Amino acid sequence: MTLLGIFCALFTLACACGGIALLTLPRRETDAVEFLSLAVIFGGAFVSGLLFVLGFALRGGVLIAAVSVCCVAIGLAGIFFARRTFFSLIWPVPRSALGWLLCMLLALQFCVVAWQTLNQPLLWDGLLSWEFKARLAFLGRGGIPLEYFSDPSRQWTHPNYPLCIPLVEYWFYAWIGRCDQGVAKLPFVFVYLAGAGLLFSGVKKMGGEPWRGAVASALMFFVPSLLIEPGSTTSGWADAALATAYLAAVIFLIEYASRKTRRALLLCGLCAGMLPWVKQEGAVLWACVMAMAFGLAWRRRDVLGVAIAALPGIAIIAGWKIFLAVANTPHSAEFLPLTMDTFAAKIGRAPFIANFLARQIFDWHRWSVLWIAVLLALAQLLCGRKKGAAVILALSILLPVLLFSGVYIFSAWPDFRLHVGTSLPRLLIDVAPVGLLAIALVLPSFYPKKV
Amino acid sequence: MTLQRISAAVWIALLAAFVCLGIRSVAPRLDWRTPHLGAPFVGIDTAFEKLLSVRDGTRRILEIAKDIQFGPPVIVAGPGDDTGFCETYFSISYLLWPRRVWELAQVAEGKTARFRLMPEEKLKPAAIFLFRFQKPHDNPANTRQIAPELNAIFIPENNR
Repeated sequence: MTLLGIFCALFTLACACGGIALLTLPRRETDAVEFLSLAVIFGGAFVSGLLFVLGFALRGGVLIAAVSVCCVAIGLAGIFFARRTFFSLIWPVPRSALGWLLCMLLALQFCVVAWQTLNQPLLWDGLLSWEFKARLAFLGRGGIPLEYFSDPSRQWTHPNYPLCIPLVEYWFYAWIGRCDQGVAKLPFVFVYLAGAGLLFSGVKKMGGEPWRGAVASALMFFVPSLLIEPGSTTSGWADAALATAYLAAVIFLIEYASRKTRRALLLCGLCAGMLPWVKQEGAVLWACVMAMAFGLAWRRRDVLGVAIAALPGIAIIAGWKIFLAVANTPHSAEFLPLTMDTFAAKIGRAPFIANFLARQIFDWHRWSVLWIAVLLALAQLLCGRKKGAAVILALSILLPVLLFSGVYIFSAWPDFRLHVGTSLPRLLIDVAPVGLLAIALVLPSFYPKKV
Repeated sequence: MTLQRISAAVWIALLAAFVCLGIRSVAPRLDWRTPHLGAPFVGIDTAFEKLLSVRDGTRRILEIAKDIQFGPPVIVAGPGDDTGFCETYFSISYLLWPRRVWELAQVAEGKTARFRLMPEEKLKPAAIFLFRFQKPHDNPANTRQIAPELNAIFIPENNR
């Protein structure tokens, strides 16, 4: 029964994922890896968004049936649309023994990641900030009770966090007919696959050979923070999903910078728009992407394009704020008011934060040599020929890191150092895959060209 | 040409270090047990096993929760400087939804608790969970042991 439920949940999710991707990527020839990776991001956001909206009016079996019908309908619409546009997928095929070896290594890594994700139990944030809401949705037959959002005794579960991850987890609960903290980990396997797939297709999109993409995907496995630490894929926290959606947005932003197509800008806006729906700090990442997109669009006199691209993010941020206000959710007590007075009073915290950040670069246990390699790669890219892409990659890493670190000046924790220590390393996960992309682009060609 | 060779050598060394340090950090933490599909409370049970050395903590707490009067709040009390106390409180609160569950942290004078969550108004709790506190001896009928370090005390309505 559980397996049948999991199959039904996956089938309906796949219909939505595929359908949305077919409707948004209407090109005759599309990279299959990019298509599947984007499908995971779009599908998860679509199903959770639909559950949230329909959950106001429907409950229980009717809600599940309505969402399932929508998923299948969007899948069919995608197929119909793809047939009309002669859509076809291009599958990457290795052309040498070394290419096949790299493929097998990636397959082996995916198996290990899937096994680890499913057998490591959900703990703390994964359980209390995310899965708890999925359980509430299940107990509420599809809708999280409104009183939860204003319950003063449960503010530590962050009711102000958005619901993408909890509602995707709930979708599995709804189909298997019970809460299951083991099954709740299943979506994260696909998040890792999507991240690795985006790295592969992103490198190719930026003119890199396929082996570079494969190396970038494989390197994810060797960054402990992306694999095994709190916030990683296997932990079941939201940071890995946020990092994947952010990587997608940055890739399309770079495509917009180099190919100047409105389609790339709109896809960038769509991917960035998912960020505030995955986690609260996604709004910061969204603002970074949109600021860079605005800079590019301004030079090309395409302000209308960037305004349209910003719409999904604005709608999600504003919609969620309105919902929280209606539900009487208290403001987060984690930060002091963001005023100049507070800034002036607490600026003395900056040296500690800067020192902590610098120490992350050499924290092998958490990052391996990722940040040293990223700094070297960015320096090399900025001195190279692809300056436009290099500047975007550098800003995509530096801007969020600066904003995320700066916000701890306003920490309301009695000991702000504890706040920095427990959460800043996790925020760096959001930009780590973009760093891997930069590394892959500068690797010397010590591999045969036809892979 | 020489610069290219140096760059290639640096990158090969860096990639080798990347892989070696990554494996050194990741490998000891990989867990090869069977996945936990079909274990509804595996996360909470793992936490209780670590904190209280009991394997079926969720079942024990849910059984006790059935006997707690619905409506009045519940308090979890324990030492405020103990990280295990916070985690125990979070886990109990997770399981007792939709009851309101508050945290009473006791600390020595002049020290601050790691986490504290009590309302300003006076509470009349239906039950108190005591973490790493000695259970009261005066009325054992109202006390239930969940683990050697966690006891639940039911408060009769006329004593609140």
